[in-house]
Formats: sequence, structure tokens, C-alpha cells
Amino acid sequence: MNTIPELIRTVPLQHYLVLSTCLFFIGMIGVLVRRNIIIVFMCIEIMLNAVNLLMVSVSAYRGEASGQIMVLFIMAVAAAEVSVGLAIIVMMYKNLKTTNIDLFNQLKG
Amino acid sequence: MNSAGVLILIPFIFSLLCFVAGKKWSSVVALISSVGSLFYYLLLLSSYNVKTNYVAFGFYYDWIPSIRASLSFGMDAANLLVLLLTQIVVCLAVLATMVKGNTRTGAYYGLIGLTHTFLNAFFSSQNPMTFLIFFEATLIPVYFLILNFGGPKRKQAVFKFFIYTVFGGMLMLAAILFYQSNMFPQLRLDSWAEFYQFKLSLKYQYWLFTAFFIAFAIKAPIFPFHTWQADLYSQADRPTLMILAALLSKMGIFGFVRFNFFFIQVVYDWFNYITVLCVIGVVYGAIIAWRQKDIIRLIAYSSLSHIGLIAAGTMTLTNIGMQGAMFAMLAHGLAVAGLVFVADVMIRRTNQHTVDSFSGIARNNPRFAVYFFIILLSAVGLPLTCGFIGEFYLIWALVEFKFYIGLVAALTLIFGAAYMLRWYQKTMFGIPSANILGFQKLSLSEDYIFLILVILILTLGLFPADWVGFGQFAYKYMNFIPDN
Amino acid sequence: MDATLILHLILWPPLIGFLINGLFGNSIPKWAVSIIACLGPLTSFTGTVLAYKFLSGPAHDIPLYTWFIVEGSAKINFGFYIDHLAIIMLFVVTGVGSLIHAYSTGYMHDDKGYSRFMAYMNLFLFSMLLLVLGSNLVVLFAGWEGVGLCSFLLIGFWFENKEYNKAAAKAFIMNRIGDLGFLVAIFLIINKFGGIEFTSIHETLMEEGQLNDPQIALICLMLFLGVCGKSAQIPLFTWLPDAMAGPTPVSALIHAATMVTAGIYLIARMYFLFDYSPLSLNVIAITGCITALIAATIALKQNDIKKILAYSTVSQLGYMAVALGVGSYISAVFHLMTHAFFKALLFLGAGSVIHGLHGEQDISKMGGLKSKMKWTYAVMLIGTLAIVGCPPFAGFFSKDEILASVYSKNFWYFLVLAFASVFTAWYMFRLLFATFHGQFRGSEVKFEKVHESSYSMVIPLIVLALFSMFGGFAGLPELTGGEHNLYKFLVQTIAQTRFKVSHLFEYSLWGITIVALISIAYLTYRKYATSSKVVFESGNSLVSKIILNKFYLDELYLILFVNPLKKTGSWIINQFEYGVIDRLIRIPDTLIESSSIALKNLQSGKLSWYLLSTAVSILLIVLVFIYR
Repeated sequence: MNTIPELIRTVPLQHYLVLSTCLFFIGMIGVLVRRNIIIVFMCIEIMLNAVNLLMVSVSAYRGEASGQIMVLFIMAVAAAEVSVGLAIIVMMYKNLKTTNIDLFNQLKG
Repeated sequence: MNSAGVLILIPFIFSLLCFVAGKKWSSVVALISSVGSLFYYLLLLSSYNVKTNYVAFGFYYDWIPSIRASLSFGMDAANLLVLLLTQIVVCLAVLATMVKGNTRTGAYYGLIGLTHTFLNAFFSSQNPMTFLIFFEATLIPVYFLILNFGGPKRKQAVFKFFIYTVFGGMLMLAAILFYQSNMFPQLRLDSWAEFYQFKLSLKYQYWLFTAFFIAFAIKAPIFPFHTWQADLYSQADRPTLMILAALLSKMGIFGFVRFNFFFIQVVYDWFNYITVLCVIGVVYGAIIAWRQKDIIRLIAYSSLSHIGLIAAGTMTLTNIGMQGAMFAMLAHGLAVAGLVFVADVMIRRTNQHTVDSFSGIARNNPRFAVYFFIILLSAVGLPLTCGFIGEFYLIWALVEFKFYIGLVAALTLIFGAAYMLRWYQKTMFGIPSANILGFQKLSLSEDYIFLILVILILTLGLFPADWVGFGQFAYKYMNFIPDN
Repeated sequence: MDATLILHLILWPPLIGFLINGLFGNSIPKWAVSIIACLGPLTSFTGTVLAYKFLSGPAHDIPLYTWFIVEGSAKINFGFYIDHLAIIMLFVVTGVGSLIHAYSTGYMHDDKGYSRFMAYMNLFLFSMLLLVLGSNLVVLFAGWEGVGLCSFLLIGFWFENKEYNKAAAKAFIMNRIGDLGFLVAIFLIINKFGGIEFTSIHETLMEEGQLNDPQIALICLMLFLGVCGKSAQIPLFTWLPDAMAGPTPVSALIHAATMVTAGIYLIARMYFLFDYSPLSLNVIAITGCITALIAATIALKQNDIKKILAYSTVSQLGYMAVALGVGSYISAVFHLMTHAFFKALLFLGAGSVIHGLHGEQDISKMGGLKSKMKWTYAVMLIGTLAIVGCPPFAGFFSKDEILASVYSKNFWYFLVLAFASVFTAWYMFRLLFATFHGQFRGSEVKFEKVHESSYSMVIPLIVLALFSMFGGFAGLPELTGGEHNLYKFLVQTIAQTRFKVSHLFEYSLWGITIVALISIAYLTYRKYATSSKVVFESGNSLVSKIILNKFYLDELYLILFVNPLKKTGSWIINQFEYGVIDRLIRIPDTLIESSSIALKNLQSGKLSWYLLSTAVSILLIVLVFIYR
């Protein structure tokens, strides 16, 4: 068990951190900037995966399994979420014939 | 069997009966209920001795023991007169609905009965918690009475009324909860006596009095919290309005009577500001009433004017002021119930609402004219009517306490005469107009209502000594002055 | 005889008459109404005579029951008090009242509201008795308001006429201004003296009273405000001329003989208090002077027979006020008494003229009635001679006494009153000559219809005429060597020293009076009786215009008080109430509402906006945590 971290440590932790931060911001900017809801959805997934990557790497560096187990949970939940989310998008597309996010304003109070 | 609880129970049970009695019988049930509670009240009154037993016919129920909230009712010298007024006015109001072509449903009488119940409970409450609960509870039946049986603009009017009073009620709730939490372990708020004994530090008292003042000032109402009043009055069904104008407005004043002695220092400090508000109300209401065309609005503003005077009287915290306020509540209640009924008789017959649309009623209805005149005399405070006694005490108390404020308050003598006579002369005198050609003579029930009012007004005006005297016992009790 | 019994005999009959006539007046025959209505005052009058005869001692205090009570402050009895002053007033009220009731049965007989009228008259008499007999200020106040109320009812007796109603309301409201002062005075008295009974006030004052005490001055001035309202002094006198809208017997009874003198009675009743405040006595005297002069001036130019008499009443009340103001209370009461006789006589005589002329009141349309109405002319002549102060008629003695007593105190007051006397003589002779002498200025047909009034009207006139002729002998001046019986009687109640004037002054005053009267009578006779074309004032010149319009006082009050109040009222209803107050009160309401609207706009429903706000918020939270 202890040997694996040694292998991983050949790449410093900072690299993982920078990568996941970059991924997160790419996702975030995509969410804020893009208008196509499917792309927004993808970007959310990217953000999720950026977090996952972070967790996995930190967990590996610390030699602890809890982070990785958590990631497995997140992936499961994300899969469920994706299916529900995509279903909603499909229904909305059927109703509105568009994927432009700005036209989805039915949530207004 | 002699218990204030029974007095609350009688109208409650009968009101439930009214709901199921149906159109035909509900009015009779309501009449039985109100007359029954009147007689029961008189029974209580006859066996009440203020000297031996100040709080009598007590009824106590430990409501939520964990927070030591209890319900307590009873009769004492302070609420004796308003309770009398309540029984009489509800009787008259029910009688006032029983006219030809009465289409009011069982629900109407049921709601009247509920109002009666809650009013009895409110006026006979013996601790702050009970006081608060029924202060708010009275709103519910009144709300539905007006919402279901009012005029065309009833929704806005009743909403405004509701928002106003609930706002005040919330403030009062907060204040009472503050007490409850502050005095929790040491004392139970089981009676007014314990309440008066408990003194918070002055810093809190200012805040708490403000809360109570706003609550009562809205309910009474006192200038400038009065704008809901005319709107609501003009939309209410007139028998309801008799209860509304004669009794609901007294709830605020009664609050002052009950609570002012708890805040002696605050009331004393703020006396000038508060009485200036009251006195502005006296003049302001009178001026509006003087120029007002709509009869019901005229009554509303005249009521504002009188209530201002009574409230100012309670603020003096003197023996005279308290006696005057308690008696004036009774006197004003009788007078205003009479005036509303006069308006009802006029409006029901002609479907006209303004002062100008009547003329010369006196020629063919001298009886009505005489009744109206005597009620009016009481409203303007002419000696030998009960209105005079109340006004006399109140202005006396004010003059004694602050001369100039008393002087301005005394202007009600002039303005009151001006607007009342204007109403009277325009409608009763002059040449009969086309509107009143079919103005029928008073029916039997109408005649009785007026007769009862007139007899009460004159009797109380001629022999007020004992009735006024009750106020003195209340004053002593609240101030812990031992009876000699 | 028992004082309580006599009191009941005096007080209640008019009330019983009122109740019977008021409740059943429409269902019983007219003659029964008349009898019941007249029986009340007559019984009271009998009671008064009994009281005069049988009651010995200075005063009788009869508390019936405790009206209301305040521990530690005052006990207010529903109680009554008979003393010498009250007996004199009772004679005036019940005596003149009985005569006017009898007169009314003739005057009002054909009116459709006959029973109502008689009921009101009885109620008035009852209130007046309450006022006169009250043993404390509150009972007096009850009567005071009661007479005001009856005055309202009777001025507006013909209630289908809007103008009359206005006059009635005006009278009531102006009286109420005075009543405010009265009521406040009552409270001040309770505070100061701890009691409200006349006797207890008097006793306390004797023990602790200080001359020129500002509190007492305030009380006196407040009482005087009440007097101004009721006894029609400046500035509150304008209601009295308008009050002539009522039937003439009302004018005679209420607005000449009894009610308007209630103020004079009040001050005489409270004289001990006023004695302690020279300041307020001066105010009373000055007000009286101005009133006497101004009212007399206005009367010079009026053409309505009742208006002339009304202004004359105001002027005479001014006389009485001056007499009170110089501390000569008994002279004031004396004049009150004689004035009640001759002014009631004049009013009833005027009523007889109006009755005979079928409702005509304008003296410019009368003239030459002497031949048609002999009795009326005779009594009017007597009344005129009495009021102008021609010896030996009643007015001469009382007026002479007032003038002399005023002269003994203050020369300037005397001068004003002397002027007013000259005016009085002028307008009264003018009235007499324009009405009864010369030629009839109306149409022929109308003159044919003029008739003398019925016996029920003429007999009271004759009785009053006798009183006007001989009433003055109750108070003979010192100079004649006779006794001043009234003074001897009243001084038991009103402890007042007799004024002193020199004999020379008395003689010259009499001489001047007689010379002046003869010359004025001559001048007016030439002007109004002999010339074929009598000129009446139409208000061409500025001065006569001002006088004709009563110095524009009514208009002044309208501009100063009524109109601004009306405007304020309309403004409040239309703008202020809902524009300002309602908005002010609804500030919490509107705050919640507007913030809710603002927050609602935040929920645009746009996903990108939600996402952005989420991101920015998270960023902010992170930043806060980092840089905290």
C-alpha cells in the first residue's frame, strides 16, 4: 500500500492542484458564459470532475482512502444527476424548441 | 353557578346553535342568547359587592402549565360598566337586525354570538395573557362579519382594518411575552394585582409602553392611527356597526384603563405628547365630522373625537379621569349605538347615505325625531343625559392636570354641537324632500330599541352616582390604596 | 310651611305640563293643552308667592339627592336653594312666564304645532327654574344648558324654514362657546374651593380669599365668558337679533325677560367671588359699556320691529353688566326685573302688531295703527315710556339707579351709558311713532284687515303694562324720601353697600333726563309721525351702511372663524386625511411592499443570472473567510 504513494509522489502535488483549479475555472467560466444549456451542463460536469481530481490526488498524497471513496459516491450521484438533468433538458427542448439558457426563465418568482 | 365563565359560555353555546339553526330561527336564538346573557349579567351584578370582594365570580383555567400561561376571567369594578354595555349593545344590535325583509343567515348570527363571546371574555379577562388572546380573537368573527355581510368595498376596508389591528396586536404580543419571560420563575401572571406589583426597570417600560400604546391606539382609535375606521364603518352592516362602534372601540380604551397604571412613570413623562395626540383627535375628528356628507363616516369621525377625549382622560391617571373614562365608555357606547341605529333607520328606508339627501323627516315622524334628539343630546353632552357626566369628569380631570390641554379638549362642547346639530337639522328639519316620501313610521322593534336607549341615557344622566362610583374602587385597587 | 314642599310646588309643575303636552299633546283637545300649559307656570307662581310669604330666614338649602360624587374632591348634589335673590328671580320668571303662556294661547292658537309649542315653553320654564333654584353651579349649569336647548328648539320652532334653523343653530353654538367658559370655571372653582355649593364657596372664600388673586380673576373671567354667551354681550351677542326668528312670545319670554338675564343672575349669584377680582369687574363694566353703546347704535337704523327690540335688549343687558361691573349688583337685579316687565310688554305688544298685520314686521310698512289697535297702542306707549326712563315709570327708577351708581364709581362709564340712553330714547320713540302715528304706508286692503288682538293676548299686555308703570316703586331712590324695598329685601342675600351720590347730581340727572326725553320725543315725532313722507334708512352713506349691517360683525366672524374652519375641514377630507395621515401611518406597510417588489425583481428566472449570482456569492464568502 505504501509503495503506491511513492510512485504518485513523483509528480508534485502542486501540479494536481493547478490542474484541478484550471479545470474548475474552465468549467465555471463555461457555465457563466455559454448560452447552450448542454454545454453549460457539460461545464458543470467539468467542475465536478475538477473537484474529484483534487480529492483523489490529495487523498492519495495523504495515504488515506476516505477521499477516494467519497469520489466514488460523487460519481454515482453525478451519474444520477446527469440522467435527471438530461431528461429535464430534453423535456425543455421539446417544449421550447431551444437550448438557449436565457430563454429558460420559468423559474421566475 | 355565579361565574364569569358562564357569561362567556352562554353566547358561545347559542352562537353554535345559530350556525345550525337556519335562516328562520337563528335570529330568535341570537335574541334569546343576548337577552339571556343580559339577565345573567344583571344577576351577577345584583350579587356583586365591590367592597367585600373586589374580583368576583372568578373562573380560572390552567391553560399551558409549562409556560405558566393561564386563562382567568372575573368581574371587577373596572370592567363592570363595559360588560353591562356589551350585553345591552349586543341585545340592541340583534334586535336591530329583526326587521321586515331580514335576509341575514344563521352564520351572521353565529358570528355575532362569537363576537359577543370574545368581547365578554376580553372585558372580563383577569390577566394579561387572557387579555391578549381575546384582544386578538375578537378580530376573527368581526373580520368574517364584514367580509361576508358588508358593503361593496368591504374587502379593501376589512383588509386595512385587519392589517392595522394585527400589527398592533403583534407589538402587544411581543411586549407580553417579554414580561412572561422576565418574570417567569418568580411570579405567575395570574391576576392583574400580581401584574401591577411587578415593576420592570424604567428603560424597558418605555419600550413596552410604546408597544401597548400603539396596539390600543390603533384599536381605539386615536389620531393618527384612525384611517381604517371610517372606511371600515362605512362598509359594515349597520347592526354589526353598532357592536363595532360601541364595543370594539372601547377595547382600546379599556386597554389603557388596565395597563396605564402599570406604566405610571412613563405615562406621566409622556403625558403631554399623548394627550396632545388625543386632543388633536378631538378637534380633528370634529372638524371632519362637521364637513362630512356621508352619515356613517360622520359617526365614525365623531367617535374619533369622543374616544380621543376619553383616552386623554385615562392618561391623567387621576381618580377623576379614571372614573370619567369608565363612565364615558358606557355613555359613549349608548350614544353611538343609538346614532348608528338612527343612521340605520334612515338608510334602510331610503337607501340614501348622505346628509343632504334627507330633509324634513320630523314632520311625519315626530317620534323618531324626539328619540334622535335625545340621543344627540347625550352625544353632545347636555346635562341630565349620561353623556354630560362622562364629559364633565373627563374635562375636569384634564383641566386639573394640564389647563390648556383641558381647554382645547373642551372645544368638543362647541364642535360637537356644531356637527350634530348640522346632521339633525339637515335631515330632520326643513321641507320634506322627495327622498323621504315613503319614510315609514317606526316599527315596534325599532321603537323598543330607541326607548331602551333613551331611558338608559336619561336614567344614567339623572342618577349616575353609584355607577360612577365603581371607577373609584377600580382606581384604588390599581393603586393599592386600602379601602377605608 | 316646609321649604321642600314649596320647592316641589315651584319646580315640577312646568315639567309635568311639558311631559303631558309633549307625550299626549296631539291626542287631547286644544283647550286642554292650553289649560295644562298655563297651569304649570301658574302653580309655580303660587309657590313663589308662598315662598315669599312663609319662608323665613336668609336661605333654605334643599339637597334632593347626591347627583354624583368624587371622593376627595367634591360632592355634587342635585340640590336647590331658595334665598331672596332666587325669590325675586322666581317672581320675574314665573310671573312674566305665566303671562306669556296666557298670551301664547292666543298668539299661537292656530299654529299646527300648538301643543308642541306649549310643551317647549313649559320645558323652558322648568329649565329656567332649575337655573334659578340650583344650589350649586352644576345644577345651575344644567338649567343653563337646558334653557339654551329650549331656546334652540323655540327659535327653530317653524323648522321647515332653513333660515330659522340657521338662526337656531347659531344661537346654540354661540351659547356653547360661553358654556365652555362656564364649565371650565366650574372646574377651576372645584379645584380652588374644594366645593361647588354656593354656600361652601362663599364660606371658603371668606376664610382664605385674597383680593386680586389671579386664580379668582381667571375663574371670574371664565364665568363672564359664559355670561357673554347667554346674556348676549360683546363679542358673542350676534345670535340674539337672529334669534328673533322664533315666534314672538318666545322672543318676549326667552330673549328678553328671562333667559338672557340668566348671565346677570349668575354674576349676582356669585357676587362674592367677583368682589375679590376688581380686574374682572372692570372687564365686565367695559364690555357692558361697549355692548350698550354699540347695540343702541345699531338699533337706531333697524326697520324690523323685532330686531329693534332685540338690539334694545342687548343694550339694556349692557346696562346691567355695567351695573354689575361697578359692584352695584342690586341695581342690576332691579333693572333686570323692571326690564323683564317692560321688554316683555314691548315684545308682546310688537307681537300683537305683527298678529294684527298678519305677519308684517317692517316698520317702514306700518304707520297710523293707533286708531285700529287702541289697547296695543296704549300698552306700547307705556312700555316705551318705561324703557326710555320717563318718570315715574318702572324704567326710570332702575335706570336712574344704575346711572347714579355708575357715576359714583367711574365718570367715563357713566358718559357712555348716558349716550346709550339718548340713543335708546331715539330708537324707541322712532319705533312708536313710525308704527302707530302718521299714515299707514302699506296697501289700503291690508289696512282694512288690521284688527285688535283677542282678549287672551290683550289682558296679559295690560297686566304687564301695570307692572311697567308701577314696578319701579319697589325701589324708590333716597331723594324721594321713599323706601328702597328691593334693596332692603335683597341685601339679606347680596351684602352690598349702597352707593352715594350727591343730591345735586340726582336732581340735575332727573332734570336732564326729562328735558332730553321731551326734546327727543319732539324731534322723532316730527320726523316719523307728522311728515307725509317718512324717510327710512337704506344705508346710502358709509356710516349708516356700517350700522345697518351691524358693524359687519357677523361677516367678520364668518371670515375669521367659520370659513377657515370650513375650508380646513374640506381640505382635510379631500387631501390631508388620505393624502398625508393615511400615507404616514402606512409607512411600514409601504416599506414592506416596496422592498418586496425590489426583491421580486431579483428573481428574474434567468438561469445565467442565478448561476452568476451563485458564483459571485461563493466567491465573496471565500474572500470574506480569507481576509477576515
